[in-house]
Parts: sequence; C-alpha cells; structure tokens
Amino acid sequence: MLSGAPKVRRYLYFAFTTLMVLTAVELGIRLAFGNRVFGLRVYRSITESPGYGLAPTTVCDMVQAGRSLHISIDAAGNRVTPSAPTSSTIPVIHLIGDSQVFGQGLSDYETVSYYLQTKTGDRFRVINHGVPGYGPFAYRRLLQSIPATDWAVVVQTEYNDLRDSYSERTRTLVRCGYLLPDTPMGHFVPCFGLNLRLFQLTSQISGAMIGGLKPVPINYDPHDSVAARVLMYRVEKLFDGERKKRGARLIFTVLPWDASLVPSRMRMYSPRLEKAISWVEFPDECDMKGHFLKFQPVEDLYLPNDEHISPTGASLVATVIYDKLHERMLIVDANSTPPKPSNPVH
Amino acid sequence: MTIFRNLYNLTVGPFLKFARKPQPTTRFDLFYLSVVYLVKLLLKTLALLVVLEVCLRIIHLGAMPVMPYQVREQTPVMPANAQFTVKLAGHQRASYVTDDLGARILSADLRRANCTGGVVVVGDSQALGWGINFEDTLGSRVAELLLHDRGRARILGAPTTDPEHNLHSLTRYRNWCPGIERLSILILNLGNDLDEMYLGRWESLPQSSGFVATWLTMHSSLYVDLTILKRKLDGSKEDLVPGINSIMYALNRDEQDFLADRTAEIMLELARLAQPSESVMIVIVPQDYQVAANQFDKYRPYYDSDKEFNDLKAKIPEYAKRMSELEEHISRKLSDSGLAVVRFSDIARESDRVADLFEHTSHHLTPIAYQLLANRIVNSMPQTQ
Repeated sequence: MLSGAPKVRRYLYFAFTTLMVLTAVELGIRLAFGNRVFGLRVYRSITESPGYGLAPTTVCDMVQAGRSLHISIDAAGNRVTPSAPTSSTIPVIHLIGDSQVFGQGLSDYETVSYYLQTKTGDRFRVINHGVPGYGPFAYRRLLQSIPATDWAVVVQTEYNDLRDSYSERTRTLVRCGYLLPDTPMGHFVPCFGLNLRLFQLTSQISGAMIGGLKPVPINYDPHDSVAARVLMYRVEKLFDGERKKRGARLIFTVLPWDASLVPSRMRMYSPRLEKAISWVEFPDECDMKGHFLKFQPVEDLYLPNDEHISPTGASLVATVIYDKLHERMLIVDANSTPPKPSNPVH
Repeated sequence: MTIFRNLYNLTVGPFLKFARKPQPTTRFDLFYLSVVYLVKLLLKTLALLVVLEVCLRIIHLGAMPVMPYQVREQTPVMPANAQFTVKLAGHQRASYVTDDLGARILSADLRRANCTGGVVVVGDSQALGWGINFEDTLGSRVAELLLHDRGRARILGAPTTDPEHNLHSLTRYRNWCPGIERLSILILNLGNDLDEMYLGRWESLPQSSGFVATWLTMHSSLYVDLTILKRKLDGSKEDLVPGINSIMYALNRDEQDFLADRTAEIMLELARLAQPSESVMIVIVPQDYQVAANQFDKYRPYYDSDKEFNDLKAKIPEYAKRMSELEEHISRKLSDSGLAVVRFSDIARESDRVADLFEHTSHHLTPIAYQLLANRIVNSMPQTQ
C-alpha cells in the first residue's frame, strides 16, 4: 500500500490526467462544432418585468438538436428580421410572442418574421419582438410600448402561455448572456464554467436523460380545469385595454401544442393523455389550428422532438398571419395599399 | 519535427514525467488501489447511514415526523394498505391505517369490510385528520352518532389534495365501492383548497411517485428527515405567505369571483359523483382568520421580522372579509342547486370556545371542532331532524 507523499502524488496524478482528458474533450468539441455554443447566449438583465431581454447587437452561433444556427440581435434588442427595410417612414408590423416568435431552434432566415417580411416586401417593416420565456404579461407590456397606429400581431403559445400567466416575474436569471434557472447552479457557476462546451453539452444530455418528461399544458391537464379557466380569464382580461385602443390593428393568434395535433408526440409529455382535450381555447382570429391541421404531414410543422415550430411551420404561420393582415387592412383603411393574398404553403 | 518535439516537451511531457515518478507503479496497482478505495468508501458510507438511521428512529420513537403521502395518477393519496404512526409538531402521536385505495379506516381488519351503508368523507388533510387518531376525526364522530359504529367511516383524504383532485379519487372509490353509502360528506377547506386549485397547478405533479421514493418515505427516517431538511434549505415556497390564502394576493377580485364560481362547479360535480348515497352533504371549513383575526398570530414564527408579520396582520380583516364573501358566494350557489351545505363558520360564530376550534400551529380543526361539526351534520340530515 502507498502512504504519505507518494499517495498525495498519486491523487495529483489522477487529477492531472482527468484535467488533461477533459481539456482534450473540450477542445475536441469546439473543433468539431466550429466553436459554436449549445445554449442561447443573447440575453441581458433589465430592471422592469420580466427581468430580462435580448442584448442589443449580439450574435450567437449555436448548435441545437444537431442544427447549426445563426442568431443575431439588432441594436434595438430585437431579433434581426433579414431584408427588413430600414426606413422609419415605412409602416410597421410588430410580431409579439415568446420563443416561437423569436424562432427558437431556427436561424435568422427561418423565422416567422423573416417569412412575413418576405411576403410584405418593402411596403412594411416587420419587427420580431419575440423573446424566449416571455408570456402574456410581457406581451401586454410590449404592446403598451408600441404606437397605437402600428399593426401588431400577438402570437400566443398554447404550450406554455397559460403557465406563464401566473406571474409577471419569471423564475430565471441572466448571467454571462445565458438565461438560467433561478437555482444555486444558475447563481454560482462562473462564466468560465457556463461557457465550457463540455458543461453545456453534458447539461443538455443529462437534462434529456434524467430531466423527465415535460408537463402537458395546463389547459390539457385533466386535473387542472379550474386553474386553466382562471388563467384564461386573466389572459383575456389582460388585453382588454389594448383591444379597445387598437381595434382591428391588433390581431391575436395561437400556435397549437404539438402533441394536440400529432398524437405520437404525447410520448414527450407527462401525464400521457389518451386524447388531447383542452379545457379552454386561446383567442385565435386566424384559425391557426385549422390551418395547421390542413397541412400534411402536420409533424413537419414542428422541430423534431421539440414543441417549437420548424422552418416549414414558421413559413405557414407567416402565410396565415399575412392573409389575416391583408383582410384587416382592407377593412381598416381603404386608402392603404394592402398586400396581395399569398399562395398557401405546400 | 523539432517544433512538435518542443511542443511535446513543453506540454504533455512534464505531465507524463510527473505521472511516472511515484513508486511503486504499475497499471494493475492503480486499478486495484482505486477499486479498494472505492469499496472502502462505500462500506464506510453505508455504515454511517445505518448508524444515522438507527439514531433517528430512536429520536422519533418509531413515529414519522411528517404525514406520508404519494402521488397516484397525479392525485395525492395516502399509501395503500399501510399502518404507521405519525408525530407531527405540536401533536400527540397518532396512528393511521389505510385500505386498498389509501382511504383512512379505523383498523386493518376493516380493509375488506363492506363499504355499503357507511359514512365516507372526501377532502384533504382537514378530512383526513391532521395528526389525530381516527377516533377524533370528523368521519369517525359522524359514524358514531349516525350508525353507532366508528368503524363504518372511511376517509378519502390526503394532504395537498383539493376538490379537483377529489373528483378523480372519488371516481376510483366509486369503481371500487359501487354500493349505496349512508352519508357522503364532501369537505371544501377554504384554508387552502382554492389556493391549491389555482396556484398549486403552477408546477404540475408527476404522474406517480417513484417506487424508491415511496418505499424510502415509508421505511427510512433518514430519508424523511433529509427530505425535510432539503425543503427547508430550498425555501422553494417563496410564492406562499404563511397563514394567508395565496389567492388573496395572486388574484384580483374579478378573478377571485371567477375562481369561486369554478369551485362551486367542481363541488357540484363531486356531489354528483358521490351518488349513489342516501345523503350527500357539503361541509365548508373556513380559513382560521375568518373566524377570529387573532388566529393569524400563530403564524408569527414563520416570519423573519415583526414588521413583515405586522404588515400582513394589518390586512387580515380585509382578507377575512373577502374570504367570507367568497364562502357566501360558493355556499349560495351550492344551496341554490339543492345541495345540503354545512358551514363551520356558522358553528364557530355560535361557539364560546373559538380559541379551541383551530389547532395552534395550523388551520386544521381540533377534535372539539370535529365533534361540533359532526353534531351539526347529523342534526341537519333530513332523516334525523
């Protein structure tokens, strides 16, 4: 048996060897993925609710679910909408929402705002106000900051917007550009650690393996009818003032929960429901669910193993919103130049 | 080549040289020693855990310091076919016996007893009896008065359940026991039922408790104590204010009214599910501060400062008034639908022992209160009037 100094040296040997191996793995990951990160690094803290926003003029090259993504944030702290005209005299369409509008899992050229901008051309400027983790309280706050004469489309997310309506606060914090859970890990891991690709990758893998299934939305949970109804009542009341102020220039729609349209995706959620039946429905002036159901296969509208919409889904959503805007513009202002109806996405 | 050699000498070389230095060293030695160390560490840890477990069992004298429950199909239930003793803070030791469904019963020999013609009480911890023996529970007292047999009572209750959970528990019970009950008592506990149906859904319950966690909860004092410690350290209930209904600050008046309407609907659905039963009675238990504002004083230990406590205490009259309005609203809706409703707030108002009706550490009723309630329930039944 070893004892004393050789024993200590032995431990040090183990420590050094481990460090060497980990360093090699870290370098290998960085080389293999072109130094991209595995977590979205575009956030900053703000004082007002919900406590964070997007950091202006930030670029993040990341890998998510095997896809390489390029994500850029403009000087105003909104996700860049490529090919949007810069002139301030052009009428604006504000897209408001959470990660779905932001384009979680999508590159700048795949978001709803990009497709909508492509359809409207130079006649309108589309601004993407989507921020992951935002909910109805944040949507209202954004609406209040937007001129009443501008067009605004609130895209709610059936999967989590009811749960996000519990509070203006979120249980998250921003550190080193990352949105982290409000836990000791979120508070104390240094930026160096958070930026380690090995840490990011193992966090994701362990989360997927032992993190358990995602909860079904409150409005689909068989035990949550009361909470779902009260929250929906709240959500509807939240926007009363803005509805009155903006009239037809404010459009509400909702992105359906993936498992409600694709039953095989129920495996990703707990409890596993035989049939997805909703206690309450979000206001949807675009019949988004109907349009989703007409598209075949519906599964293609979502990213694999993820509730977020795919580029195909984003394109369809943009088409549906565009058509609704066109219809509304005809009603609202006969003197305006409404965009032509688009061709349906196939 | 020279560049690579220099690079090697500067980086990897010193580490390898360092690694070679300790004596004796063979790869087998390293592996063998590692395994020996790990096994030793494991054995020492196991021995420590056993010692701790024995010590804690001696400290708790074989009783559990918390009320054990598990989750089945997203509904909290008591462990099925269990028999255990609980000693909650501020309480005497109390024994619990449950049947196949996890319903509390008087004794183990009644597990298979015919459930027809008895008294079934549905609710949360208020129905279950918080840290009290079966004989002191509402169900037992009612069965004694009505059927002269405490063993004819069955309590479908568990901590943290609420009326919406009870829809599922009662459905399971009805499948298990399709007979006609003498009396079904459905308890609406304003102490926390409304809060749990709303704020309690912020984080969803798992489909069911894991087998290991369930087993450890029932068989390991160390596990239970560590769980309690972890909860205290987490301080994860930051959204809850001790002693105050969370709906008072989490919802506005409109939303509270809306919630009260939905609650009444759930209670009506529960009453429908409680059939077949000769009588169905809804019991509304108020929040303690509705009955007497000074009941809030018992929550002082849960606050960090006098200021924080007194600021909230100043709001108690307002909260009590609002909770009573909601109670009135729900009660009227239920009565208008033809249901028999007993309000404990009426009983408490008439009592000259208000201080003895609620426990001194929580909003749970005392055995004295259960007796008063049982008397009122039995007297309110059409057959016994």
